[in-house]
Amino acid sequence: MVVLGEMKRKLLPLHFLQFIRLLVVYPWTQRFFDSFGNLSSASAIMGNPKVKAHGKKVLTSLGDAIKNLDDLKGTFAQLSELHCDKLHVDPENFRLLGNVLVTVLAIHFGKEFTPEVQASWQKMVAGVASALSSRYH
Amino acid sequence: MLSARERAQIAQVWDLIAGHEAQFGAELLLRLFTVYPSTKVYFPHLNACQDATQLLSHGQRMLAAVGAAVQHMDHLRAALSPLADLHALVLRVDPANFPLLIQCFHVVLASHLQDEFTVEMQAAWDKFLTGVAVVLTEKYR
Repeated sequence: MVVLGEMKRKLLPLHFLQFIRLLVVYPWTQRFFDSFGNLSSASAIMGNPKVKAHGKKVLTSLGDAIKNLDDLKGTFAQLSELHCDKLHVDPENFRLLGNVLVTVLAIHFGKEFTPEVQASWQKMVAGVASALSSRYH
Repeated sequence: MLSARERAQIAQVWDLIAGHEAQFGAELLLRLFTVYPSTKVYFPHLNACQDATQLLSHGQRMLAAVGAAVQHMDHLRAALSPLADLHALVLRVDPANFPLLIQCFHVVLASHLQDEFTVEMQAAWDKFLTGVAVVLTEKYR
């Protein structure tokens, strides 16, 4: 798990912010961000300061996840309740976000992103998605 | 419905794959089987990761079909009808598996094209491949 090891030593590099591609590739995910201003085109979305600011928050959370792989449910308990009770986010969105993050990692790591490395990361993002939906009721 | 811009993006990416269908297809299948092991149940004859020749040959076949879909983006149903019959009557791959294959397709593209794999290409290919999956599963019932 070389890639994850590298990641543990520092917060996920900001260029992984590219996962905001989610809003372009799956435009219906924009439904949560009506107040974020201009989302009218791919470049508008990728350059939108509110989107990027929110993306940084999400990335920080993911960084926490990597440090606590043994207790994802505990790490994300409060966030899970928040996403259910206040934000009303369909957990399917967590799976979509995880998948986009994996493609962004593949872009960054190129050939080093072997099938085995992909499998580790897909497992991790699936774990995060599952932890984030664990308090839904 | 694909816009003119999306069609161009799709064709642009296909140009990068054309000629390398076997290698792309083999890597696609290898990723699918490694990341989502349950998908191997649909390929008992492939002996999964142990036989590179079989992966290359089946990968070639799958990517050739994707190439045909790219050539006939505007009439997928007609172009893919025989394949749709095959999937409905013989293969009967559960529709939930197509997004898994599509995710692996994105990762193959991303890891090879890296920064050239723009957000617009990713969006266009996801839309296109999802459309192909819909056509392939349309005759299931």
